[in-house]
Amino acid sequence: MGPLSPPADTAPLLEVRDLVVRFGSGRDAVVAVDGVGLRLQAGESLGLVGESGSGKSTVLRAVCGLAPMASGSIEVDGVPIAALPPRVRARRMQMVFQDPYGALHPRQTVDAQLTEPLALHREPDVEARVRELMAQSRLGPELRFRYPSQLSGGQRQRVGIARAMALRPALLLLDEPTSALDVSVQAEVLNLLSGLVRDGGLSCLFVSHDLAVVAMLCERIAVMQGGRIVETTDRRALQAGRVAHPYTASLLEAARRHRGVRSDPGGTG
Amino acid sequence: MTVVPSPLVSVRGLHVDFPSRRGRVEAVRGIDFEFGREKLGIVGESGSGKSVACRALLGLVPAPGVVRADRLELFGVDHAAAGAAAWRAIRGARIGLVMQDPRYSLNPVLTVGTQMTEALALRRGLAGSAAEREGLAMLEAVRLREPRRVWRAHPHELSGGMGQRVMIAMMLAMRPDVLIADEPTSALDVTVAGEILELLDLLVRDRGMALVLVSHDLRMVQAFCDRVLVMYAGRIVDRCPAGELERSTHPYTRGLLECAPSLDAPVTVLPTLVRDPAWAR
Repeated sequence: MGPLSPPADTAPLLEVRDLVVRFGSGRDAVVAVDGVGLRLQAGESLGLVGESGSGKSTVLRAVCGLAPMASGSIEVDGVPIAALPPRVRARRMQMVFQDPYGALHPRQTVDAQLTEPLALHREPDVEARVRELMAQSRLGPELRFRYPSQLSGGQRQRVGIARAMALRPALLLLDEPTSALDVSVQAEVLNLLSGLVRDGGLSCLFVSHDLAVVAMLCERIAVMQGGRIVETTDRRALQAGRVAHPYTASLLEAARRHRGVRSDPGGTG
Repeated sequence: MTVVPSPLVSVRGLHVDFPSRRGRVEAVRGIDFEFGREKLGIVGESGSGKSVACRALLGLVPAPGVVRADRLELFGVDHAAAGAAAWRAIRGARIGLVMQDPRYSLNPVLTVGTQMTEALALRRGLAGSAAEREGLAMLEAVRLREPRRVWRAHPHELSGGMGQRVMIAMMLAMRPDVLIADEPTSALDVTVAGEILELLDLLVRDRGMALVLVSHDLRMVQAFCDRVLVMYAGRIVDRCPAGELERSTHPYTRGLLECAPSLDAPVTVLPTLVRDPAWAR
């Protein structure tokens, strides 16, 4: 397909077709993603759930060019990601990683980490934008010149989100952004993300193994197992307990049992 | 077998301090609790002192931490001033510890069999085929499907859930009276976490052990434990039977109960905790 068709203004924000990601070669080759397709219109969000090794994070990494694509296609605004200039790509999508300790530069202050993308993209009025980003992510001004080691886990993840939002992307790629945090701190980060998605018209592709967390942000949810999407469902169907695939049912049961109603102590456990 | 009077563990006035450049950090500030053969949950956020308090029950608070207690009674003997030999006699043998991430708890360059054999030789005087028989029986007891393959495997060849089962098997092989599980499922997927909790529940019930489950997730602890202690800033601020948690009026407990998203009651904004230092006074 040529770069001229389809026209960019009617193309979906993100379209992944028959994506295959393979690591290694020959007999040792591991197929991490085995023919995944998904489509996101601007403003839509999709949750990607599955167990460790199901390929959900690899899909995310492939979308931002961090995993080798063996076949298939990934298009942003109708343009294959390989043909997208890095500057344009950075303005369309940004990633937030699971581990906020590893994702921030340990020797740079919050100010430096937020300023860098703005300066690189020659944004006007960097000062005002940094203050705006910090306020949006509920980071007090007293934190601006601190290093990541001087922040709590929740504050670090909010810095990660503020930095991802610096260039006003249309799509956030979220890779288990709250699984390294306490439940109580997770609530603060989820509220921040939910505000951005709901009020800011942002799209997100949200990877997690926790259905209740994903369902807070995403109407549509795709369930992955063994590198494939085995079921695509939505929040309402999950709430009603309508699931087709046994793996989705086990995820649903886990979400209910350990985060919801207390089970009968003498019962099934 | 001697009859152990309940409670197994009784703690009065436990303090743990860490000296730092900016003065003393008081991680645990005078807590009292006890437990017998039951499932006790200790809940709190990062930094609340819950893990350090449990390490004190094993004599494992790392230097330069200082442990002080009016009484630290383990199996009828006060360990408040115990020396290294006294701790070695109960650590592992009578109190076992399962930690969060099996990738860091297991030795990466030794096979599971080698690691289990070492522990079995040291603690139970078993060697050779006797140790292997016992080890395989333990791997079977934690429901590993292929105990022989796991016995020969190195830790990197195991999934997170399998690694955690191996850790539990190693602890059980010592036949402890008390098992302390410090965030045993936080590094695992939700479905695997459920299986590990079920396994712990079964083993504790079958063997009549005491289990202390340490976690930041009050909903999980509530579903699993008999009794819950809630820690905040080094103090126990709330304690009650798990069945009565729903009725707790402490604002911190309420906050921890309500902050997790639920599929059945979806919201766009989750309640967040407003922390009040006065709770820990």
